Amino acid sequence: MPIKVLPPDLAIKIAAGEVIERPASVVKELLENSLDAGASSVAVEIKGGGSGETRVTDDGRGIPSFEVSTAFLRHATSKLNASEDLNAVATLGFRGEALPSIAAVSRLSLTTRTPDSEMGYGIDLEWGQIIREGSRGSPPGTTVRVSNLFENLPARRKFLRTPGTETGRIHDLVTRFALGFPSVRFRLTSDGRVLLSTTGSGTLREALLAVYGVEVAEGMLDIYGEDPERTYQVEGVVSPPHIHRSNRSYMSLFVNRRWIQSRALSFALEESYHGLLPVKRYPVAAINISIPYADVDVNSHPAKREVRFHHEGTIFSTLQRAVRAALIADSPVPPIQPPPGSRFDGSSSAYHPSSFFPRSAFTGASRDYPGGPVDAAATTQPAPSLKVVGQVKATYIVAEGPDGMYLVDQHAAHERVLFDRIKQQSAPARPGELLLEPITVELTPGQAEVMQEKANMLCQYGFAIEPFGDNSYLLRAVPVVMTGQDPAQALLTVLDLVALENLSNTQEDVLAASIACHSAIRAGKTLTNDEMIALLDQLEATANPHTCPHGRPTMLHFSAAHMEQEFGRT
Amino acid sequence: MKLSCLQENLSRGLGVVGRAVASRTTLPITQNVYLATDQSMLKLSATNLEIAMTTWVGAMVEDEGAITVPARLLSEFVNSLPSERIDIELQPGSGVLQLRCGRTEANINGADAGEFPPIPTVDEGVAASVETATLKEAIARVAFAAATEESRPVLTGVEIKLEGDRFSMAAADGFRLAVHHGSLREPVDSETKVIVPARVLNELNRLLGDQTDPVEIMMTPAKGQVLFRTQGSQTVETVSQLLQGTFPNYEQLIPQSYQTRAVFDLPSLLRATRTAAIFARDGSNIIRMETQPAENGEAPGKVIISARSEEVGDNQDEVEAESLDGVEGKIAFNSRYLLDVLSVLERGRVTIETASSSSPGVFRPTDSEDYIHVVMPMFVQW
Ligand SMILES: Nc1ncnc2c1ncn2[C@@H]1O[C@H](COP(=O)(O)OP(=O)(O)OP(=O)(O)O)[C@@H](O)[C@H]1O
Ligand SMILES: [Mg+2]
Repeated sequence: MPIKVLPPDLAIKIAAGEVIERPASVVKELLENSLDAGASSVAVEIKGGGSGETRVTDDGRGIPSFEVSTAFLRHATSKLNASEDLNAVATLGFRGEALPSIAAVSRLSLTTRTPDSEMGYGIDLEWGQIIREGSRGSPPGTTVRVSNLFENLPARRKFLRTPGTETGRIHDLVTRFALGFPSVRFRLTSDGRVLLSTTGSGTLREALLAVYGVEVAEGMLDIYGEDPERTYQVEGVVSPPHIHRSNRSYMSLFVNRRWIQSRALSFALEESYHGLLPVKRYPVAAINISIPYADVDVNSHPAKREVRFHHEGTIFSTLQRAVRAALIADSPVPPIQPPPGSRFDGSSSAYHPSSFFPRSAFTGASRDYPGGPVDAAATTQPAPSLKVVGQVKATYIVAEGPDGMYLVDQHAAHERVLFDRIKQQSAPARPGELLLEPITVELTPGQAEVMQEKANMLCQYGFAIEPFGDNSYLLRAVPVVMTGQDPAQALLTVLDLVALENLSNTQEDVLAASIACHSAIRAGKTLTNDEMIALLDQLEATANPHTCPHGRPTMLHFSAAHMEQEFGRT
Repeated sequence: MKLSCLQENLSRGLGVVGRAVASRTTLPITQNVYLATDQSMLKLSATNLEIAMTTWVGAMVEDEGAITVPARLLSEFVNSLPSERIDIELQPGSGVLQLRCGRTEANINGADAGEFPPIPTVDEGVAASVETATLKEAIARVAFAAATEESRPVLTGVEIKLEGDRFSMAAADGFRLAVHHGSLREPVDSETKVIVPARVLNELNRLLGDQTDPVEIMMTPAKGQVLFRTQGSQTVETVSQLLQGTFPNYEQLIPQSYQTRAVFDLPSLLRATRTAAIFARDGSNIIRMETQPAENGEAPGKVIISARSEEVGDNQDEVEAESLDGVEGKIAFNSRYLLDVLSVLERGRVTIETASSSSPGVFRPTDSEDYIHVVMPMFVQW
């Protein structure tokens, strides 16, 4: 084929593909524009996961009417003047690509008014062509409405996930903006339902409260750090060691308030928790790094997601020092010197601020590299055989084992036992226990969304559920392990737990873990000696006895050597 | 207060009411036992606020009075004494209970009787009388089917209905239903229905032991209470709070038709089920039952009982039916539910009726209409 210059409408479609991948990209670009326009309040309304309609309304400075159509020309931007400016980008947008790219693959209409003009101005486009423009009534600020996304690119439409998943992505995205810009009021609604609403008070903690709830908001530790030359500032919050999550999506990193994804920076953050978190658990964090605009290259990724730093090493160490300082200050007990001969000796990993007892060898091996590959030998190591001594706080089983004392978390241990049992039952159809009488359950829209997403999987796990109009469902059967509970409550809790874990996570383990979690004996339940013996036996028989399905440890080991040392016997 | 009584009587009385003493509590006085003179008896009461128990011990009363003392301390002390006469004395205003037995003496600090939660009395309402054996059988066959978790309070109870000279008890935990009918010693005037916590009935069952005197039941739905008076070697009154709410309309849950009806020798079926339960333990408790009518019409037919677990292995057992009418069928039950119902039926023969692998199985003793047990199957892959 001869080399040809692409016809312009094809070229723009290809370019649009790079910038606009999915409904969340539309939201991202529109939000960036609103923030660049100095908005103090932004509302995002989506329908059908964003492929139905996306509308972003801001109260920013608006676009003068004579510039509106220019904004839809490629490479039209008000944010850069000459190419030197590209070396120091202070705004979120700078390419002049976003609006034309969105317009090329959708029906778009924009209405805007600058504060000093009487009348607003509106423009409508279809597949990149202006079909209408002129004066229009409008409040100050800008509203962009996008619909029929990708309808002219059927191939791309096929790549879209279910509305629930796309909603999850958009939710995640708006969450990041809310954490990056605490002084802007954000509101996200999906099919009329409010998914997120922040106050815009300017305090990060209030934003955290809206986004992650009270436990996280109250528990988080403030961090601050700068490099010796004071060129870089690291500021934000990180979770204390007892708050952690099953994936990295709760770590938000910003560079000059731009949310970025950086493997290297994430790793630096995880490293700061070295030895403090259970295997495959990740901290919650919202950290902004202020860098002179000239020291960071934001123009390295079509969707502006990744950035390049000129002095990466300095930034990493500044970040790590700031996080560690906060973790040490939070440490409830003074760090102890590890017993001589332990593997923590002398290495830089001897740092162990908040664990009074060095983690035992069996849970420790894989802790050395949080985020790294799990040491197979460590996780498949069998459980020690344990002899029950008693129960503490109706929550922990005290046991004697080879080389010392073990504390077993009864809930975590039972969770592991049930999880293994559920997983063992052969998919696709795990048995369910039929109810004498079906129960009508009312779901919240959020729960209904998970229900629709996971209907098949819920069935495979032993639930039998039928739609019963609106958000009502008929529950006919529950998984066998859940027969000891209120069936309706069991279903609702599982839906909530799955939603919490991650709406877009398709791994069926999430469901198994949620069922196990809700069915496991609770902390606070007094157990008989026989019950404790049975539980430890069952735990011992599992493939992975040292952690619960969420990755928390099921047991702590207090070695005889360590006890002797603490009691001053050696 | 001044009286004397026999060590063995006091010890037995404290043992009985001791069951109602609160173990862990926010109201410390409920860990005490209440002692009071009552005509020529010593009355002992304890309550954990859900259940209250009262009994009387024969005594020689010189001065009237009442006090409460720590239940555990008192009964441990009394149990340690020789079986002789105990002299008990409370100096007015002292708050200290003095006990003397032979050369042993003790002073126990008590708390004022007025602080003890009032022990409910049930003196009006519908009264009925039941033979102890009848009541015990009913409780044993029904109470285990009640729910154990508290989120559905009504289902943790047993519905007791009195009507004419019959009573019925029913319990259901959402997956199974047990209903038992029995006779009252005399007809009651008005029909009454209450929901009693299953836990209280199990406690009552233990208390009844092997005594033979009939049990009196007094129901006051208006006050939300029920009282059981057992006579035995000593009178014991057990008062329980009733559960409030509506019990499921269970009559409609009992299937009216079947596809297959089979009668089995209970001990054989129970043995096969127990064996299968061992293998079902690791495979989510599934016991599969395949009913096969005989082909040539000679033997009545049989059921194949099997269980398998991916990890452990599998087993299979055949039990000949004594009679079998209907078509072949497959159904899976939770081994626990199956064992529960077969164990309470214990002896004789059992009739099992099934319609499909997703409709309830009905179990009844073959020789009586008194008991019916409905169990929902599990849906499994065959
Ligand atoms: N919500 C808004 N409020 C005010 N002006 C806006 C708004 N959205 C867009 N504009 C104007 O339209 C121009 C084009 O926007 P567009 O998003 O296409 O490019 P950009 O933001 O400059 O760069 P990028 O492609 O990196 O996003 C902007 O430079 C800005 O002047
Ligand atoms: Mg832009």
